[in-house]
Amino acid sequence: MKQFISFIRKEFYHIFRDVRTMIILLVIPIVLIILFGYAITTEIKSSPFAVLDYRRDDVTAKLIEQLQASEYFELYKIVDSYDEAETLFRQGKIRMLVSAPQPSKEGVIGIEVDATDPNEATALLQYATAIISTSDIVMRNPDIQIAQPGIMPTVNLLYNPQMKGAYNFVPGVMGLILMLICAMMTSVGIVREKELGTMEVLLVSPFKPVYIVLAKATPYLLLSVINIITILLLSRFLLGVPIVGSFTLLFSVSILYALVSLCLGLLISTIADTQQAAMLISGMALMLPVILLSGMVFPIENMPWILQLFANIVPAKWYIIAVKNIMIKGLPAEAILKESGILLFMALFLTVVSVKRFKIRLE
Amino acid sequence: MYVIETDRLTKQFGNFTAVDQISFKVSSGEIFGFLGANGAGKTTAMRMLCGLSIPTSGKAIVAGFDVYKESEQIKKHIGYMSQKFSLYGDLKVWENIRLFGGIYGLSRKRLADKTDELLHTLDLEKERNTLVHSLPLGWKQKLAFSVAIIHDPKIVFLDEPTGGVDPVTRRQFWELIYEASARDITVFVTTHYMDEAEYCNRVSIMVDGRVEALDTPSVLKTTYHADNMNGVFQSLARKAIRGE
Amino acid sequence: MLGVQIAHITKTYRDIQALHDVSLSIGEGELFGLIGPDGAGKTTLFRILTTLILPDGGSASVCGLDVVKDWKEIRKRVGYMPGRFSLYQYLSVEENLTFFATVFHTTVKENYDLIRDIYVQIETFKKRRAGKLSGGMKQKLALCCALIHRPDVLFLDEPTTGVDPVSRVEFWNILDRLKKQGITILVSTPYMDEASRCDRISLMRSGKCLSIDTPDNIRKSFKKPLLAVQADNMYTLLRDVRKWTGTYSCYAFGDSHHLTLKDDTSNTGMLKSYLEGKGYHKILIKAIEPSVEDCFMELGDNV
Repeated sequence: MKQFISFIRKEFYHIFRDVRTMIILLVIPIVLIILFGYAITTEIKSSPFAVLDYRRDDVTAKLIEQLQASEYFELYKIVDSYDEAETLFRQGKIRMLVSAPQPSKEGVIGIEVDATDPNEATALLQYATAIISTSDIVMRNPDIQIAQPGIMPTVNLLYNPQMKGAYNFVPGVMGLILMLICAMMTSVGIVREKELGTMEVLLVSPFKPVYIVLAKATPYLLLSVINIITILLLSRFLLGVPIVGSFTLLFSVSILYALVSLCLGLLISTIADTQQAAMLISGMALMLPVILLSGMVFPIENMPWILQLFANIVPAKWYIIAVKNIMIKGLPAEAILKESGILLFMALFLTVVSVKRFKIRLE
Repeated sequence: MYVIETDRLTKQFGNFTAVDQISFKVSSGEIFGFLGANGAGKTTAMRMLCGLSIPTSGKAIVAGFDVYKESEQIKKHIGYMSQKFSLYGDLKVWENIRLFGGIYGLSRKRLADKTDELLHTLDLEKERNTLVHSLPLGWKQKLAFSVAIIHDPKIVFLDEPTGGVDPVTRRQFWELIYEASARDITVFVTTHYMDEAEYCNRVSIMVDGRVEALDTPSVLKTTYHADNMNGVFQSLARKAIRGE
Repeated sequence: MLGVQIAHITKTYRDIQALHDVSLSIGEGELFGLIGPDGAGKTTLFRILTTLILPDGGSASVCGLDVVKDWKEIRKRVGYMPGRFSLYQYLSVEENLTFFATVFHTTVKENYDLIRDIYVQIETFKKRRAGKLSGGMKQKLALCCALIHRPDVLFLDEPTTGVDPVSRVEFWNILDRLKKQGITILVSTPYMDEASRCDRISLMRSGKCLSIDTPDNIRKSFKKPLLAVQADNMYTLLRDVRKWTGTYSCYAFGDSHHLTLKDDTSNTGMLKSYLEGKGYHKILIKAIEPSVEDCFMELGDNV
């Protein structure tokens, strides 16, 4: 035990004395949260729109006023012809066109959106429809209907009524950061000892090889705990994402996910011989799937079946589902049984594999 | 004609004087041994002469160019080879030659001629398409040396070129050095093998950042009453007080 | 006899035969040297003996323990300093030493007497990080770390490579003192001049142990007559001597060239008149005793 503690102390010295490691551990999580929270956002804010007004009465004026009142839309111009609107669309000056026909002509209000970015288009459509259909004027004038391309859904935004991007990204960023710290740092740390030649000396010592692995992994597990807390604090107070469900539950599932990541890191360290190789493998084989296949950026349901299948073995997918369920929806432990079960299975499986693969010799 | 001239050349890192007012001259075609214990300041001095590091004070002219202002010119007129980085292991022998020939701007025709000539001299014709990392160390080092002088530089700097090389290949390496010297290429070499110090025309020994002795091996041996250069080195380097 | 016993060890990496039927017997308390250039197989042999890799064939024992079966026990009893061993850069001298002491279930205090001689030389820098030490000091610290648990056998893989001649002499003096403490030491080096510091040596080349004996006996086994030749132009002298009919081989050796004669039929006088005929001055020829390096070069074809 004394050996073990001494090893962990040494590990912390490495971490604290290397500026680069410290940056990765402490600065990157904060940068990522801020980046995803503010800069990279899918939220709709002040989208410019135009109005083609044939009606010219208080109904259109009221509609424009109500659209303007929401933070989503901003009137760019009242156009005189459809051609003019089309030009503005092409120039990228407007994202949406609301056309109000003359009252005599079966009062159908038309909404057209620029669907270059389909996600944004859907959101715009939903917001506009919701605002217009619930407005007093429209309610009071049964002759007015709304026409829009596609099917009109009943809009009822659950859990995240303002459709804030942060709600989606915070769980994703947590998945990303824990993977980065636990998997990448652990694998690089072990491989560095191979490069330095110190691994040879440690192996030729009475210190049990399994302990070497555990001692290497422990500091990163502790650091990831700090990171979980930092991220949650930042997202709660900086980005305003509430933690609706149980904090303990959220914390436990995060630790479970961190364990899975650690095991993946150990597995990589048994394959890679140089630090660069370890970085590359953990970057390509772990980070990319977390970003692309976990549902963090692209919805899994829209992927081809083969990728959907593959996404199932990406631990981050299950972690993100679980975090969303607890943090955003506030669901109880029973709701994430499946996800935590899968993560637990992955952790056990990977531990067995990486301990088996970790060599008591050099080859 | 001198190809290297230094006058009270000094390099300081903070309050630490790595190189302390060294002054010497090296003639064209000379084999100049640059000895010193680990940490005596050899590497720092060599970096300044190669134009990789700006001196704190003093003067140095290398291949006719000033180390302060004309480091780019210096780099064109010198060759450099170290024990650690010499060639790209994952490139074939001829690819390495083409690469470095290209870096130094040799014409295609001249490069082709040089490649054949070089492979012939080194007896490496059969290994033309071999990846460099699968060559024995000694061959690698000989190849690296030949590549370092592919552009006929005025001076070639060699940083412990023969470390770990077997005795026979080590001697073959020195025969290459003699050939280069006969072609009027100045060879500036560091080594930890003291018998190799004897092969140099003149030897300088650095202790604690200063050039403590500089002369031909035979004069040095007489001065320090030593049978061989190892004796000279031992009696000088023992005076060192600083670590690194 | 305990110590280290090696019998018919072979090891192949993919298509390279690293060790070729190597057999050695190293007695307890002996200072044994493996002398040979890079690629001779020294590191592979060390790794097999320290249980880090498995041999393809043959058997070996350290302190009477089998390197394959009893790897756990061997790891408790040996000290190992790998080549290019660079310690933990971010840990200070003191921290490195304490760390290795703990890993080996001991304390610095307990075995301080063993490392005192070495440690006092670096003690002034004990707060300095290992990454900032000079080559000679790093090597001394590494030796302290390998000795801290008072091993029965010490394996030192090229401890003096890249270290300046003064530090090298100091290092060998330390090994002498350790030997007196009864520790069996197996050390490898590419520097032939260090061979004379060992009790016995084995010359290694291309995965084979070529001759195994005391340095003196190895020198005596050199059968052909050996001459040292000097003249005013050493560079052309080498070529001309090689062209001479009586020459078997000729290599530069420091300030003179060492010439191995084909047999006793040619002699100094004949060489002298040959060289005078070529226009050399200040010719100096004398018969000399061979060094270990001469013997090594005589052993066979170059790699």
